[in-house]
Amino acid sequence: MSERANDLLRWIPLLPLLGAVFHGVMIGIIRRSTPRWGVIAISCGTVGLSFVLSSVAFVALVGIPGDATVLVDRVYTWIGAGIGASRFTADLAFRVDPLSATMILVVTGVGFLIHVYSIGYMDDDHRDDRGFQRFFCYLNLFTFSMLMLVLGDNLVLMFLGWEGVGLCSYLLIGFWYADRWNAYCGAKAFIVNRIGDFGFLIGIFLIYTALVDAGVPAGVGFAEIASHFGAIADMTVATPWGSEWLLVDLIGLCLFLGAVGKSAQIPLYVWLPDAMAGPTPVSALIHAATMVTAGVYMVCRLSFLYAAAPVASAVIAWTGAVTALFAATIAITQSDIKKVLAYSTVSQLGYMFLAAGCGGFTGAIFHLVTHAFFKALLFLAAGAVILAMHHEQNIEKMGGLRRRIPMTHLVFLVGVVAISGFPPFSGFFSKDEILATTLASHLPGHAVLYAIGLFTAGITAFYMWRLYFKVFYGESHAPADLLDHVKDPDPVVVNPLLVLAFLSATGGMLGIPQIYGDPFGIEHMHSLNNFLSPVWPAAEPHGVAHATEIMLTLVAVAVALLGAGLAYQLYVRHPAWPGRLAQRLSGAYALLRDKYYVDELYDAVIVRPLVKFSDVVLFRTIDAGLIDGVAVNGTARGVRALASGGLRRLQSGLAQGYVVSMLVGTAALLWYWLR
Amino acid sequence: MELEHLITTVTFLPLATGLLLLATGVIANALGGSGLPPSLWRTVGFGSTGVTFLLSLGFFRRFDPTDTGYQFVEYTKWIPDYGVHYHVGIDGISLLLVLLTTFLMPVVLLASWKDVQKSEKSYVFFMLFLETGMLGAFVSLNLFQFYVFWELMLVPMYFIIGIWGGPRRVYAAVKFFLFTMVGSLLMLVAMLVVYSLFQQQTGILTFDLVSPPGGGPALLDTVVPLGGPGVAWWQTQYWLFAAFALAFAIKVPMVPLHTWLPDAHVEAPTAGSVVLAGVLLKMGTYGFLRFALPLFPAALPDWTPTIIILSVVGIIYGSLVAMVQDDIKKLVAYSSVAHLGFVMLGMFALNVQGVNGSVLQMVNHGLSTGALFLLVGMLYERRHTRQIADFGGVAKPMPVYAFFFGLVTMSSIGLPMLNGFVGEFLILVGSFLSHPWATVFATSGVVLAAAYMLWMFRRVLFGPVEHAENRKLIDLDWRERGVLLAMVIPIVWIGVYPDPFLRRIEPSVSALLQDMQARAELATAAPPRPEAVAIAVGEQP
Amino acid sequence: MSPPELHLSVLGPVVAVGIGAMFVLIGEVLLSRAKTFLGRPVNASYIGSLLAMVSMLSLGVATYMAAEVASSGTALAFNVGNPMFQLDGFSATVTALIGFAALLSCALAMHYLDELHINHGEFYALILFATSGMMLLVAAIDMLPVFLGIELMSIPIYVLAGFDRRRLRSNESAMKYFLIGSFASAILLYGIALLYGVAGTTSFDGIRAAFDPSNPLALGGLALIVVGFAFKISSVPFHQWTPDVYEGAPSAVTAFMSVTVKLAAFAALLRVLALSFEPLGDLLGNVLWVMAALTMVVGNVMAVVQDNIKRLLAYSSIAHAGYLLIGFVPGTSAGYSAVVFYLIAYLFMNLGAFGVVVALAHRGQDCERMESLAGLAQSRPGLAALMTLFMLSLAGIPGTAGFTGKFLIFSAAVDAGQVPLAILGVLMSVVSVYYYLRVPVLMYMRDASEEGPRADLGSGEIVVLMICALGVVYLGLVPNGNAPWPVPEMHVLDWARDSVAVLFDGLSTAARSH
Repeated sequence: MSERANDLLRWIPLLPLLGAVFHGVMIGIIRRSTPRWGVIAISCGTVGLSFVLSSVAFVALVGIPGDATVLVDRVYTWIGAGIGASRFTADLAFRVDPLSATMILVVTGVGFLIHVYSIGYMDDDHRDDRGFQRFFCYLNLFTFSMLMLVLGDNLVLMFLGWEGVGLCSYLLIGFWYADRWNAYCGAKAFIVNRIGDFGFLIGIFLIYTALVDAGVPAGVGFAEIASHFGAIADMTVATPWGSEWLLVDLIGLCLFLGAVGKSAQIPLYVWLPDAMAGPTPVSALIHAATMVTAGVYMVCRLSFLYAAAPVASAVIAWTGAVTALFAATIAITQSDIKKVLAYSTVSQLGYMFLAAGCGGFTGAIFHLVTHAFFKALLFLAAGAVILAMHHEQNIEKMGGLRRRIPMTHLVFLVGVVAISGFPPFSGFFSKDEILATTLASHLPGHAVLYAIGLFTAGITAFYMWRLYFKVFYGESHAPADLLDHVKDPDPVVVNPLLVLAFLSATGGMLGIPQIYGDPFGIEHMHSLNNFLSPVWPAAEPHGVAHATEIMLTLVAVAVALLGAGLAYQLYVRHPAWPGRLAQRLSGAYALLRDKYYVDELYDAVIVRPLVKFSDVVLFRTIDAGLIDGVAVNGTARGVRALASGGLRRLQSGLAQGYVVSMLVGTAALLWYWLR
Repeated sequence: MELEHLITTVTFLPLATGLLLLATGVIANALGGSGLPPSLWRTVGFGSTGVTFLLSLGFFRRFDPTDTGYQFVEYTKWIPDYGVHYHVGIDGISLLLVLLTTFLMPVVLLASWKDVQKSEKSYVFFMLFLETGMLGAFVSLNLFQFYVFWELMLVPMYFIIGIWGGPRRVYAAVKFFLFTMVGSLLMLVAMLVVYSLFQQQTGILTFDLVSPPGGGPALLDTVVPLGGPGVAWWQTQYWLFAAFALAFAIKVPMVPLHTWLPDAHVEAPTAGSVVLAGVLLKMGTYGFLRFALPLFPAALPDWTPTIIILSVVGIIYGSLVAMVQDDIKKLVAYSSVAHLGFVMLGMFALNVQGVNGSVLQMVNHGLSTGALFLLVGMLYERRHTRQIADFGGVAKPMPVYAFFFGLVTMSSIGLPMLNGFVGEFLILVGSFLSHPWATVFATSGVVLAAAYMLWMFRRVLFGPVEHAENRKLIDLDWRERGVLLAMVIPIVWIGVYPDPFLRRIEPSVSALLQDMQARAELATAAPPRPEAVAIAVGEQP
Repeated sequence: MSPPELHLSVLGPVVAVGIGAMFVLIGEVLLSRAKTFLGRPVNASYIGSLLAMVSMLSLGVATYMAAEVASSGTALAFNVGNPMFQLDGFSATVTALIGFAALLSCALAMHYLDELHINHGEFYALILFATSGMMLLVAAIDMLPVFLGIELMSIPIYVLAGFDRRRLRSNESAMKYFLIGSFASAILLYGIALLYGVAGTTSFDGIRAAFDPSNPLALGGLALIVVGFAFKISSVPFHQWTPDVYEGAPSAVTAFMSVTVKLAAFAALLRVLALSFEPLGDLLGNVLWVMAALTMVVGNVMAVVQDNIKRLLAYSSIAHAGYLLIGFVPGTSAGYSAVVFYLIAYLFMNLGAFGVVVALAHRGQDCERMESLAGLAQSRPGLAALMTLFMLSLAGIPGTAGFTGKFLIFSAAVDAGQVPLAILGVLMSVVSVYYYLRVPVLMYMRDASEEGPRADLGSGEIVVLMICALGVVYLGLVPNGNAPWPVPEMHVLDWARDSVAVLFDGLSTAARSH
């Protein structure tokens, strides 16, 4: 691909930005109303165009012979300071290699579909005179930031996108800002993410400092880091508690803290469920398909680093596994349709990290892609349901909807099947690969990890089917007058659903493992792996005997079926049982329903004490009391006291007194000289 | 046009305008007229600050980044027998601060077009006076001259706070004045000590910091002892640095010398707060960089730890205290303490990245915090309260206001693509090279900043409109939009493409650091002192 | 026995002033008898202004003569054989300053006396007599004329202090001042006597030659002389009369004495101490150190709690005496010239400050309470601005004469290694900033009080205030000329330096080790 064509890359993120800027100026400064069609044309048009450009870039990339397949578009030096080898530079440069190519296709593709869907979904929103345009402004801005995150050729640029998507998430969660709760959730999301970003920053500093120490040209570009990685691979740092650590482990952990925040893993997952306060398309795009997967992308992007960092990898894998299980258990008892999907997202992200931790980066990305398809589908379908039910989200008030909204029902079913991992839907393949990778990895306790993953798969199937049955089966719990108006939404909403449904159904074809032979006559079936493997040369391919792999597959399917069957038993055959079960195990039920009281815990242990401390100790005691009260005003008072107390007495106003003091002075002088 | 006295013109144009107006007014009165109308004062004052800004753009355009020395230098004898000269020049460090000053003044005059009601004439006069004072301090290369401007600018600021301020304005104004006086008078003594040291060593009396054009004595060449036999305690780098540092640290302000700032900010009128945060605080950081560090580099090994700790404490302390304020202005004031902590941290990283970042961050803080004060002022004009509790849901009646407020908030919490990030990031990168652990703690300030800013933003703009008065708030008019737009443009520019600025800062900074290292070695060489270590220049400490 | 060689011109200024005084006395008698004079009906204020003109004229002449001598740089002793008075660079400069200050005080007084209905001609006569005394004092190079000058200076001022007969406070202060003043004079006289006993002569050179620190009489004599001067310059602990007298005396008198007496006393003290009794070693330096420190601290701290503007200015003048004493401690010519310059600066800023107080007197009442300044910025913006300028100068803000003076003093101290004293000095000036700022606070940041200031300013007051303001700014910005804009070049710094040069290598020939 020629240099000329390289310059196309910058337009992929730039176009949505232009859209966002236009909207921003219109609603933020000029305050003139834009015609509805104009808003749609600009926002959807820009995103659609950048999807086309992404496809062009993808084709061009595939066209490049050999393994070193990468396109880079360097615009200018963004931040540069320092002299000699230690000069710090972060260029504004965009990088398209198989990994980012896959990501931008997902981001722009799914993004475009959700833009279209939003036209229909946000149509009935009249809470703010320019809400429609404001929404698309944020959506474009988000697309831009996400593309920066993915395309950025260095850690700082990635951080730019990283923070940018955080901002958009903040704005979109609190989109209906008039409701105090939404605003609170937005701020919570941003601040929790910032905690992660803290780790991310430290990670960047560590890499840079290490490179400076190593005396190699210190840049934070991915290419530079990779090429000089050898110099820092075996550096060690002394921890405060004495032991020696691999520097790369420390770096990996710091950066992973960022991922934990962004991808809602334990212990920073708390913001994601609350993020459901935002409009449903947002939940689909940001809090399911794209932004929350940024952490996974980052880990894969730095695969060479994590491949050399055993401790960090282990931590990632375990965090992922535990989160997957933890979130899945919570999802069982939630009654808000979006909350269920939210916890499911957290859980699925856990899967991805499990894979990445085990060195199966392809698996992670694979699941990222399929998850983007079916989770976006599920959210949008849920949105359609909510729309049909006139903004009712409680599944206890639903039921029996499958006849009234057949289309929505159909696509929702596809999504459920896909996520619960029934062949040949997409979820099946990706989840399988992850489980196989886990079992094959050499991490300590990989068997346990596998068991957790498997068990979680069962729970996933259970709560998804529970959700499905409670919404679409049984008798309706909705008021009759409402039910009469319940109908499938307009095509502008439905069509994106159909596309996504198709993708969720067939997405698995991207990565069909060896074991299924060679039906299509490609020499190596796992096309995604063929495509991505050049990106992580460091990762060791997982090797499991075909026989084992087949068995694993069967087990997984069986577990999924078990979960689904259980759900069927409980929510279709014997609808009374769940209630009784809940009473029988009321303690455990409450624990799950109230999400293990983690929010309350954080609030009581961290937030309140900090605020109290700042207010009482720092502000009132130290600032106002000690510094200002004692030190500053105290001095002033002291001077006044000295004057009015001590010296004024001498100023009696009586001439005799003055004479006396003069005599004293004279005497002192004489004594000093004549002694 | 070609101006060989560009600096002088830019510096004194505002004051000259003010005096001219004053004179015309007096004459008009004497001739039985009724003086000049306030509107004329306002217009002329605004015009002259505007012209000053346009002229000062000449510095930016004609500045030669490859030249590490001072440019546009002017040199005239003032009190030659005492080595006092009129010696001005601009280098990469002062360039941006001069521009920031000339940029902010017309903006604030425009911003306070309506809200200043009583005795507007004197208001305009003091503003013009203030601008000359600040510019003079930034361009002075003669210690005496710097001191004159440094103290002179207190007077107009004192009156601006004291006359047009809030209920406790007198207390705040006097506190502001006295705090600064304590430090600067001790600094004066330290200056005199260096002055006499230099005379003892060379027999020449001079206050010139650097050699005048065509060569000559420069105080920087003074070999200030580190101690040893026959050296009084007050002659050592350690104590002289302490005296300078105290004066500048009060101005910055560094914890625990900061308590004048919240009072001054809360009581000052909007324009006062903007100039105070935008420029006056930078006097402190600038003073460190221009005088304290180069004059006493060998004292740094002893003092750097203290200052680093104070900066980090300032960052965390300021943020935490800001978090519990219920007055918006007070919150922003404490946030300034935190931001300036970052500036100091970067400066005392003593490497190019850190110092570059800290110089840039001086400008950034001026822009974003200045804009914040403007925004608070606009709200105050409408509601005459700054209590966060009195607001809520303001975004509904004032969407444009919300837009700008949001943007500025993001810039002040250091969101990438906006100015705050670039400076903060360079500072942290630099200081991580020198003081990893301190930097880790400082970085937590990034989280806290998001916490208190968003908390305030949410409480003021989001949520339902509870107070009836807020329901009928009028959105920003075009004057106010223009003011804020003027602030936002550089905010975005620096965030997206900071290179033009960094390129101009860097050469002077790296030259300064190399120079400091050389001098430190010189001083340590004279009486050998093992524990004095060299200073990092760009490379590893 | 040849007739003594006399240089009458040495006494020129004194004589001029004396003649002026005579004219004033006679003139008043005659005028008060006359119905009309120069076609205008005669009344008190008319007489007053005429006499003021006369006295100003004579003072002007005296000032001019002194200035001539000062610039010529010649040093003439009256009666060379037995020198008692000497008009050299130093004494001539100070004489000119005193004459100028007295001139300004007269201009300031004219309208004020009317306002207080105490417009009696003796006022000017007394001013002139006191001035002539001061001129003798500074020109003296012998202890006897020193005493003579001091008495001739003090007695009229005792009277002036009680010039407002109707007011009890005025009389009381006069009485107090007289009692303690004569006590101080007695001490001084005793000191002179002791030294005479040691040296057998009262001439400075003779005393210096015969001075022997091992001799307790010599030491005692010097000590008592120092005390005598310390009283006049109101240095702690000999200062306590100052606030009472400054407060009690009519403002115009306070203005006059606060400036001229300091000028004369400090000049004479310089002349005496410049004899540099070097055998004394640190003894003298330490005493001056302590006096300076005490004076600064007490003056500034006490000023903080004053509610009476005149009392506040009284304590401020004590504080400034403290700063001036710092200049003595090093004993270097730099220190001495700094003192001279500071005295010049002090002339303008203090006369200006008191001038505003004078201008604020109305309805037969002196301006006393600080509150009466409230809201002055609204009623009299010009006056408020000037007062602010003088306050800033007294506080030592750069750009004003006060700062240049402080800069020179502290610079001299630091040069001589007196850094701790300098630090104490600057800390005390911070305290001073606090109370000086209270004035602008009242004028600009408070609303006007019930009693507004008087409507009209006398032309004399306006001129004086203008001159003082110009002086303050000029000495602040271009103390040594080189003004970028076209103004008369006055190298005040050089004058100060040259004037003290005489003290060091003037007539007295002793080697000086500093």
